[in-house]
Amino acid sequence: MPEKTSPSPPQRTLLLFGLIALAVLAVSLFIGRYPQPYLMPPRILVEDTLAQRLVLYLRLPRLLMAFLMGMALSAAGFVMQMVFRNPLVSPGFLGVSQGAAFGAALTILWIGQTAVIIQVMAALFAFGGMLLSFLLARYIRFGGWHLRLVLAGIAISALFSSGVGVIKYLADPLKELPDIVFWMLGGLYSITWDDVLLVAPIVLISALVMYLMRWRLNILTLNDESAYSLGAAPGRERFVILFAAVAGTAAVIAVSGLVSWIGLIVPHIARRVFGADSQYTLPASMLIGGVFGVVCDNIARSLLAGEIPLGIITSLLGAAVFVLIFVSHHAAGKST
Amino acid sequence: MTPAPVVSLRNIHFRYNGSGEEILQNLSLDIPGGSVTSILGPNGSGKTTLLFVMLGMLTPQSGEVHFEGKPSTGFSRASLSRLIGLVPQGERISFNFTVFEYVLMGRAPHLGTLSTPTGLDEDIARQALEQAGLTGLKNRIITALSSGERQLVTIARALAQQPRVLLLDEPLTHLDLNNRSKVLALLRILNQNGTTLVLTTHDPNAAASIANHMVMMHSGKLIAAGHIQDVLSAENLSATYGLPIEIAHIDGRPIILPPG
Repeated sequence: MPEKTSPSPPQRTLLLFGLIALAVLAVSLFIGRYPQPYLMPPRILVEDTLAQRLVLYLRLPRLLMAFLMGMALSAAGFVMQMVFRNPLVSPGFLGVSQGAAFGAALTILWIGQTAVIIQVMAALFAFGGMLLSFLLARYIRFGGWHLRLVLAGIAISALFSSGVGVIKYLADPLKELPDIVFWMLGGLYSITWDDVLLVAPIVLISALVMYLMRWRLNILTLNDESAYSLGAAPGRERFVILFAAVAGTAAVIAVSGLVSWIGLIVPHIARRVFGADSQYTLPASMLIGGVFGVVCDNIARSLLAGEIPLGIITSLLGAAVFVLIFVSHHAAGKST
Repeated sequence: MTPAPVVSLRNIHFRYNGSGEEILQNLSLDIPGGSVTSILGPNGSGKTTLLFVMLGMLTPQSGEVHFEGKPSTGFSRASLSRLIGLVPQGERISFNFTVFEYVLMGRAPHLGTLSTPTGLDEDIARQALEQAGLTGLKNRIITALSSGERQLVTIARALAQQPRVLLLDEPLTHLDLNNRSKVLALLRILNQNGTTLVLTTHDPNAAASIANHMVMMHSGKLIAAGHIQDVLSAENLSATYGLPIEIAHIDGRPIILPPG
């Protein structure tokens, strides 16, 4: 029963993507601005102890965080697009991004610029945003649960967004305001091993939950009665996988700030390569997202002498890829 | 002689959200094992709600549901979905799944929540496609198919599920004559292989063309239920639709004639 013109099995393509991801990580260790801009000759790593320490204590944790960030945001974006049956949903919706921004801004205004407190508050408010969205959705009296949750997410995001506006208005324009704005643009410039060790377990557990449910996710995109008739408990299972997605997102946003577009774009790239079946497209989103995160962060930290906020790079690259995907999609649609 | 019921309902009362108008009013009926039962009634008579109660998805406020003689509460989600399958009406598919990927989803009841399909599941899905005459559409994107083809694909998913009872929500509505006869032929083969079929329809001729048992409903109340020869009468049909209806016979087949 083998097919005649069988394309290379998806597992093999996934493996290839995994190898590419490892290669990108390895090469990125040598990208930076020491000792000269862009590429560090590998022999320096043997000879120069400063280079060794720089790679071990600054570049490596930052690279890993960039990979975790891209992976978590892309997996979460993919899962949310599937569960909400809407390809334009991004991981920060449901009040998560704006909640985190509010938590961070509030901390900067009231408590100060201590990184750990900002991170914890951002994560707490990200979760708070999600819980408020779910809570509000219960009280909306029309539409299916998709629509109710989307509407609730929009309302809660708007609420937090106005809160951020108030805080910006109250903030000291010379000291606090730049910090708030900079946090909201996102970046990984201050990442240490401590951050990685704090964030990695949450991201990896949430990724594992999503990965284990990778085929089940297909069933959860069907109508409720269909999913139910196939043995799923659609409400409960959707909540579990959404919770995992938000947990990973919240952990990452807390240290990276608002890094937009990755979670929206990468699932589309993955779908172009692997089709709709989330059994393969979810792990593909994780790998492509990780690489996208590392590449964007490489540009952010080494293109100019000063750090470019990561959110600017992801938006720029993301918008370009977005346009490319849909222009070529249009062309492909015409040719068939 | 009527075989043992696979689904039996006793004194079912159901309303959505526990409030508002009662959709099912004191309904009692049996679905005989191996039968083709048609649930007949005008639009809004509660047919789909009844189907979802039989699926176990909706829990009635009062009354009892038994599957194969055991109370519905004794079944896990997975075990119930291996017993009863559903061919839903108008499934919204939002992503570019291929026909094969979609049919393979029918294997979910046989897999754990965290499992992925095996080679055996893929073989069963391929057989289901072949049985439904869809092998040529295997790699097509499902959203690009015609509504008739999609209906066949949804039935193929149920074939892969291999349930003992298959509920079908308006399986013959919106089909042209060609696809309609394909669906009917497929359903007959399924039934001959031992699957009990329950289908809703608002078209009495569609019901009469395949069913051997019939349940007639009007505004959530049971008008009649039983073997088609016992219940398919002008009187029962008139009560179901609230219209004077006549039955003609052509070559022994009943043809239902609405007034006008």
